[in-house]
Amino acid sequence: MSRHTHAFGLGIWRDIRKSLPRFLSIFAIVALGTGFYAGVAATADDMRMTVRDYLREQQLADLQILSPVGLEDEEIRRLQETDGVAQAVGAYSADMLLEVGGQSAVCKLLSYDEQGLNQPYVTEGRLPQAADECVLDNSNFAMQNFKVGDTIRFFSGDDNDTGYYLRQDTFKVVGLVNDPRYLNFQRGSSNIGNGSVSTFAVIPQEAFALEVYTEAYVTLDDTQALQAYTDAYDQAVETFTPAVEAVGEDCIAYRTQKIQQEQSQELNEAERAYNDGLAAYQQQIAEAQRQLEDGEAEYKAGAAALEQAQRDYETGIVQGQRELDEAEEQLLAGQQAYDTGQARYNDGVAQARTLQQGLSQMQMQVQGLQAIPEELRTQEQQALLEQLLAQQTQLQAQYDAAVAELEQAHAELEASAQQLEMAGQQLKTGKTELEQKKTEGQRELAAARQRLAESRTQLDQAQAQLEQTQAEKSQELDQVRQQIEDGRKQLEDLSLGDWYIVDRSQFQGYDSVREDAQRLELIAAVFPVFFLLVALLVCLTTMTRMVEEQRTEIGTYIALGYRSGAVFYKFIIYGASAALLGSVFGTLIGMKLFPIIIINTYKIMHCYPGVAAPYDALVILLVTLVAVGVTTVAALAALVPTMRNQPAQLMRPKAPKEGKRIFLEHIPFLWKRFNFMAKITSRNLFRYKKRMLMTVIGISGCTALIIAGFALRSSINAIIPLQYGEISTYDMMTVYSESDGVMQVLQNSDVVSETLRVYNETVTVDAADQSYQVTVFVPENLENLPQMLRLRRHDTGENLSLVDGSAVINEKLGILTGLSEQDTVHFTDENHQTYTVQISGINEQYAGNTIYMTVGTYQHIFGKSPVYNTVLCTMSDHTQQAKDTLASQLAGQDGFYSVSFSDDLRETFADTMSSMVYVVLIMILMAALLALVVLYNLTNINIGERIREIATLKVLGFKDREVAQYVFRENAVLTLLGAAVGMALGTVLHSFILNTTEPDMVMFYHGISWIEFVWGVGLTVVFSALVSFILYFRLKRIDMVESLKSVE
Amino acid sequence: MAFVCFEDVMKIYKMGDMTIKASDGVSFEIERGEFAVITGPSGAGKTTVLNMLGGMDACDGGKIIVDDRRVDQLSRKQLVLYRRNDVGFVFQFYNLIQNLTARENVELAAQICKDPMDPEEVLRAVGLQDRMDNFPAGLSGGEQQRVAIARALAKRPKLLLCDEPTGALDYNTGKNILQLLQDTSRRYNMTVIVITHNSAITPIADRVIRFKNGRVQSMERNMHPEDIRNIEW
Repeated sequence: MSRHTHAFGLGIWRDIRKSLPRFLSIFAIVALGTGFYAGVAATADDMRMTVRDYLREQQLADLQILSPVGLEDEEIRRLQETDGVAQAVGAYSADMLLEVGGQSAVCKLLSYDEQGLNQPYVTEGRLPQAADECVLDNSNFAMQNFKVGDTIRFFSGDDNDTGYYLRQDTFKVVGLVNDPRYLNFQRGSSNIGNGSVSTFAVIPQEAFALEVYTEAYVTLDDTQALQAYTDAYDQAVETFTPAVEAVGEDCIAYRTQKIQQEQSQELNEAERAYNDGLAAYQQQIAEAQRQLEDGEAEYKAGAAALEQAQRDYETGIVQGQRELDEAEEQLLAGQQAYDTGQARYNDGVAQARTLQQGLSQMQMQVQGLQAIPEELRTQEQQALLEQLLAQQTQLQAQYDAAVAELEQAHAELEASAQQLEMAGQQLKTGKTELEQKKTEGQRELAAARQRLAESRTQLDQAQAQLEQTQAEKSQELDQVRQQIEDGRKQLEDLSLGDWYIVDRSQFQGYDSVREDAQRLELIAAVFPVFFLLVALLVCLTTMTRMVEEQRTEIGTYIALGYRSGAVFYKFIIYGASAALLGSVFGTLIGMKLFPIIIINTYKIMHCYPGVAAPYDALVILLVTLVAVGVTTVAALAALVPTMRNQPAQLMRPKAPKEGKRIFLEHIPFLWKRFNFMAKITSRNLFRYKKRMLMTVIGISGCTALIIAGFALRSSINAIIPLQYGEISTYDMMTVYSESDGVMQVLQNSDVVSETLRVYNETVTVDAADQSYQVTVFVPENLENLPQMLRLRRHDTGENLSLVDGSAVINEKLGILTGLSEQDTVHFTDENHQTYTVQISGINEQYAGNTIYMTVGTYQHIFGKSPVYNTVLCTMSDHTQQAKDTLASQLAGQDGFYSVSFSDDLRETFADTMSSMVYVVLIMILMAALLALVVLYNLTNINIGERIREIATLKVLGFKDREVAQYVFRENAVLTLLGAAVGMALGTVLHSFILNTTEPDMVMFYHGISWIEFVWGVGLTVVFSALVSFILYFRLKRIDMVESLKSVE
Repeated sequence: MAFVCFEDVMKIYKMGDMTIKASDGVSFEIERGEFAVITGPSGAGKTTVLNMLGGMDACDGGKIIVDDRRVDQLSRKQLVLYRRNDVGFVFQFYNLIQNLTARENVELAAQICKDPMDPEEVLRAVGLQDRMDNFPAGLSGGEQQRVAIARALAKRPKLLLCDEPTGALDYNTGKNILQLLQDTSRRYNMTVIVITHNSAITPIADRVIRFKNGRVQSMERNMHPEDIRNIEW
């Protein structure tokens, strides 16, 4: 045996060398099939493993605990001491704002503790060491705005000071990290800023100023040996959760007691303060009362004094008047006396004048007499003169006496006149003085009266004030009293709420990795299995062909006395070694290549480092077993019927396959219209039914894969113009809070055409096994809504309108929750309050999940009015400059949070979707390869089987082109047939993949356009043509001498 | 000049280090309309000569002249046309297209040349008027060879080359086929060259060329060929 085994072995080796193309083709197709299968099938596990290793390395907590009152060291200690808890740590987090390009963004600050859990993974720089160092989120947002070495400043976004949260507000960026709590680039929602967290930063635990921990993280003993994303893990966490809940109840009781003690002390102090306040109040009131009484007495005295003054004044006036009257009378008497004196004086003057005249006359007579000289004068004359002189003397004396008398009277008169004048003057003065006294007295009296009235008013006011103060103060005191009493009562029935215990599924992206892996598994369950099937079918055909070719040789071996087992052995070894080598080669490459490509593609949307793509010996073994098994079975299937023949029969040529009329020939109407070549082609097609079937299956598979691939790509891409072109037609969205400035900027802007205020709130909708984040959307009015957003039914395109009392939800939400029109949707808000609303319509929407309702509906459901926090706008100018200008105008306004432009959103969304597109492209590429290999292989077999026929045609003088036509016409028909079947298959495949891979937040476009069919069919035709082109040269090389050989 | 003329034709196959001279200076002539038989033992180089004559293989030296054309100097494309228009070939194993009926096999050849004979007429001429719509598998060996001959004739070739045409047939059928070939030569004045290792049939030929070790051993002209019915082997 050993000797002929050696010869036999050489025979196999020679067979392989001789038929290297065939050996290689089995090798290649097995390698391709198994590699693709093992690679894609392993990808899901590898993805989980990549994440799992990362989470283990970074010590991601199993549970996160949030308490309504925060957590104290004591509570962390209690957690640590709980049986089954491996590690429990307290941690801080706070949402703060940071300023980026004039806008404020929400940053979640997380505490870092070297000994703690959830260790950040450093991608650049290092971890923080000093209290003023921080590391940033290794996401686009952070990387675009900050770099290592920058200084970053945080500020509070709520009523608390920054100092309430942080010991200092400025940090130095020392590194970029991934945090195991964030596996994708979603950063969650926030109560501050624009409501969504843009990025996170990790700072040392001691940098936080908060009094109590905001959260606790726990790892469990039971999960130490378990793998994330396994049922066992989920089970272990779920089983343990009640134990943590129990700890939570104890801790809450402990905190309640503590708070009761603290607060009752505070209340006692407050009561003491109240009592002091009450005493002080009473004293104050008594004092005020006394002051008021004193004031009253003073007032009364004042009033009496005034009365007296009035009286004195009046008396004084009367007396003064009397005195004046007397003086006036005296003056009048004086005047009279004077006048009498004057008259007498005047008489005296007249007498004197008469005397003077008599005197003058005597004078003249004297003088006349005297003029007569004395001798001459007569006695008489003398006598007369003497007499005259005597008389004159007498008269003179008389006159002089009168004059003296007059002079005296005159002096007396003068003095009297002077006295009169003085008295008149005095009277005048007296009168004036009296008048003055009168006026003055009146004025003084009026003033006094006024003062008195004022002091009355003051007193009245003081009275009123006192009364008011009394009322107020006593009310105030009563309130304090009430507060203290209420406080006591509240403290008695104090309820702090419960611990909020969540597992890993609430960490961003944790579940999405699971879902991605599940979707990949589903893709792996369809694409590569199909692929492997086609590959193995081709392998089977090849083996069958080989057995047929070696028929004579088999006969020879048997005739030579080899046991039939040995013959089986030879073929099985040939097939199996090709399959074995192919499978090992394929799986070894595939299990590295595909996971690395696909996971790296997925990592566009996720943040975890590295790719784990270990070899799985079991999978390699199983796949190889299947491949080897199938080729072996194929060899056996081909051999067994052959081996039933006698050796002599085997050594005679096998009767060629009989020609047969095909059914088409029984339809003369058709058959007659066929030209000669068409007839031959149709006959040949049906001649090799098995191969025809195989080719059609293979080609339809390729077409289906390509169509599904392209359709998948456009299902993903199509939603961008649909969502951002037809559904959401607004150009800009601004998020703000309680700001008039923002609205003013928008309304005054030249580039904004229409605005619509909207209230958006994130709520949770629970479906059977999962909960979804959904936005409640409340537009201020329905008039402007159609310009911003088109709510329409997907099937009919009919517009949906919002009505009071019900809501419209989007299609995807309907699908996720299984809800349809007239059903009721339940949702929970941030405060864990549950609300319900009836669904009046379901709208076409591709991105996000939304519940649309009118203001009326909102008010009815929530019992409050919406506080608008969003403005949607349409713009007349879409240039970057216009957008930048508007954004900077808005950024200066109080209460402004963020602005986003639909154009940018569209791009971002397209970026997010691109990773799916890459995976699809990998599928298309693989389908193309498969198409090439399948067609090449099958056509090659076809040529091999008909080599005599082809040689004969050549001998008959067929040109190369005619020979090629003769052979490849069949391929063309089979290609078209396969492509047609592939179109149907592709539609089914596409729909299956869409349903299994669609993310929760997105609804893909489910239609397939003719373009995809054109791609699928077109590429298949191109591959088919390419294969024909390659094989054309093989045809050309076929030696005509073959035609002379006997039939093998 | 003779219709077919081989002048010192060489054909050397290289197999590893060995060189085999399949034709080692072959020279012979055949006149137009002759029914020639080339005979000799296995490995004497008969088939090589036929391949070269039929434009299926090139020679490594010498001249091959058919109807005043240097076949050895034809390009690949000219050779295709030469096979198509000037040569008819009858194989030992008939080489019929199994998937085509007798009529269609003839049509297959007829439809590629310029002035073909009517397929049905040719089939009638070879005595298959009743079996025209049968597939090869439904025909006997002799009938299949008749179809093959009809297929060759339909092209109105200048030269009909037959490689062991009776090799796979029983005695009587073989005789009938030879008869048909002889009749064909006579009726259409066609040059027919039959290769056979059976020297018993040489008496019926107009010309007999004997091969041995890649050389022409003898060539003789038979002025009075025997009727095929009269010979036996």
